[in-house]
Amino acid sequence: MNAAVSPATGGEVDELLGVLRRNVAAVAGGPHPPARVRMEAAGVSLEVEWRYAAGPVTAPPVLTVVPDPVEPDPCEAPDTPSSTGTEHAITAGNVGVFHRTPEPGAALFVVEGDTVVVGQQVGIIEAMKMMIPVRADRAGRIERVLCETGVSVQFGTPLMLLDAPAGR
Amino acid sequence: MSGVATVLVANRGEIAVRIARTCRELGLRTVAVHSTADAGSAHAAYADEAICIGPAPARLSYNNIPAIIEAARMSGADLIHPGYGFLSENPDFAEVCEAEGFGFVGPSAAVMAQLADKAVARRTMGAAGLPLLPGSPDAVDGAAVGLEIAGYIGYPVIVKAVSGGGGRGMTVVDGPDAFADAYRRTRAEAAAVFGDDRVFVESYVQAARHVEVQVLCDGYGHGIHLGVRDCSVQRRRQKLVEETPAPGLSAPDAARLALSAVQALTAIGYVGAGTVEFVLDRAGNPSFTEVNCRLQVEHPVTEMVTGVDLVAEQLRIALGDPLRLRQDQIDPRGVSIECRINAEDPERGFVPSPATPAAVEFPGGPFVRVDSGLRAGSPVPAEYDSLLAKIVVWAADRGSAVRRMRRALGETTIVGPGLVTTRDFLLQVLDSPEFVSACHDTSLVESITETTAPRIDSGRS
Repeated sequence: MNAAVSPATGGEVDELLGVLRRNVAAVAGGPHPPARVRMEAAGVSLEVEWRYAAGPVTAPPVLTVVPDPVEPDPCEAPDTPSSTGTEHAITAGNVGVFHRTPEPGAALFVVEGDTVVVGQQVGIIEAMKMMIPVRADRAGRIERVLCETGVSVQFGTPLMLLDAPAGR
Repeated sequence: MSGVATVLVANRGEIAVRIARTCRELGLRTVAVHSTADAGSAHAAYADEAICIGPAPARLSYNNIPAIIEAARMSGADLIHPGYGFLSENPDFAEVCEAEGFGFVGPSAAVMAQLADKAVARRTMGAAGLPLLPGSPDAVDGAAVGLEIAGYIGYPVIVKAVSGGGGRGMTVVDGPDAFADAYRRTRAEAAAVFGDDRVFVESYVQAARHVEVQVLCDGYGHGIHLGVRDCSVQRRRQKLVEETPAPGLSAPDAARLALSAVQALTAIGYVGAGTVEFVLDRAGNPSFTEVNCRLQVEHPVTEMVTGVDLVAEQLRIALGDPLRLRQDQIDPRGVSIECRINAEDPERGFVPSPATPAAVEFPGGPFVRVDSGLRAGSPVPAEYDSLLAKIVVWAADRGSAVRRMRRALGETTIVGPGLVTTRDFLLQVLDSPEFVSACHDTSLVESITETTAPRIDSGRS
């Protein structure tokens, strides 16, 4: 596992890694923990691979971050949201039916708690049999999903609330 | 009319409110679509359901076909009424509506496409018996051919874009020397504005009068007319004052013209409300100019003298009902005049003045009708047309109608910071001796502007 850092500033990287770490921890602590997770936000990505395959998570995974600007500890306070951010709504860019998955039965584009980067697809609006991608227009963490699959949305309907890092 | 149907009105402003009003009287559910600029508008507030379909620019909202279709699907609409302007004469829209299972309030896409091509419309309407000006039967291919045709017709001629409209893509040519240049320029403009550079050549008459016949046709081959309107008070082909009956036509001439218009539209399988436009020369001879495949802005004057709600008839026809009225049941009474109050400044070349009206007061009293989408405190968006309100009056005779209109305009107040309207200019029109005696022609607006402009200019300098 490693963390790739693109030309971002040190402080930002720290903050983003903190956010990523908490989210990885949230995923790992779920009922169906994955073997491998990669998260990316604003050019900072965090990839975690667990050495044990299937089976319940009985102990927290051991994380090492390279380079290692923070002491990774996925068990510490994953429920504290970043308070430096501002709330931002991702809104519908057209009239139609909202979908949270690429196709019926497929995995959700995003779930609450995920971090997204600008341009990342978070849903689809179906209008006249055209599938129009909904993309995050700001980077941040999905705080709340406001519309579920199958909901008819108007232009401008808020779809998700984002906790976006301030100043972005 | 069977069952409770839902009507989506794909328009905004006064016409969207006007259509929704009839729907409500008929017990139909109404759905408004609006842009973000019209979120607090009268038409959105009036409807039973309102759906935001896009941002302010019309191409992203009121002209956005997928958005309107989705709104129709979402709201369970049975019919889509396009109003006037926007998508009302777009054959693609009519076709998509039908293909997606919504009834389009208007003629079929095929008929609409046929009439949108002015060369085809001219040929078809001529074949159906309407009087035509001498001209080329098809689009003219090459300046040399055009010059030959123009020489045969006799000057002046007008070079017109086949896909033209709104007063653009046409050039008057006074003699053969100017032809080649005018031909090239018109083709270039037509290509740029309409995406179709085909043009045709027609004899040009200095139009004395613009008149038009209101027609209703059902889907079973029956058609009736509802008389003739006069729309000669125009500025750059934008109508300002309309009236019916047409004062420039004798009753028998008007009846003949109206009958020929009905026959022409039924002959091509037209369904719905349509208007056939003509110019009258100084001797009063009519020539066909175009068919408008929609409800006209000025339709209320026809409603006032006939007692027929044209929108109700449009909806019935779209729902598949046969015409309820026979020609002998149409018995126009009296005179009706409409004045369009626009957010425009007549002293500055009618430049639009979008602003927020602080106070709005409309006239009342006997035989006055107001169609408007205006609300005090609600901004008039700069993105759309400048029509604020239509003031319509009825009276037993023309003199009384003119006096009633003066009274009604006098009771009308639309004021706000930065807001200038055409109200005072309309009062000048009503006071002009030419209009009062009904001997005005299409140059009236220009002559009033010319006589008042110098005074205003000196007052400002």
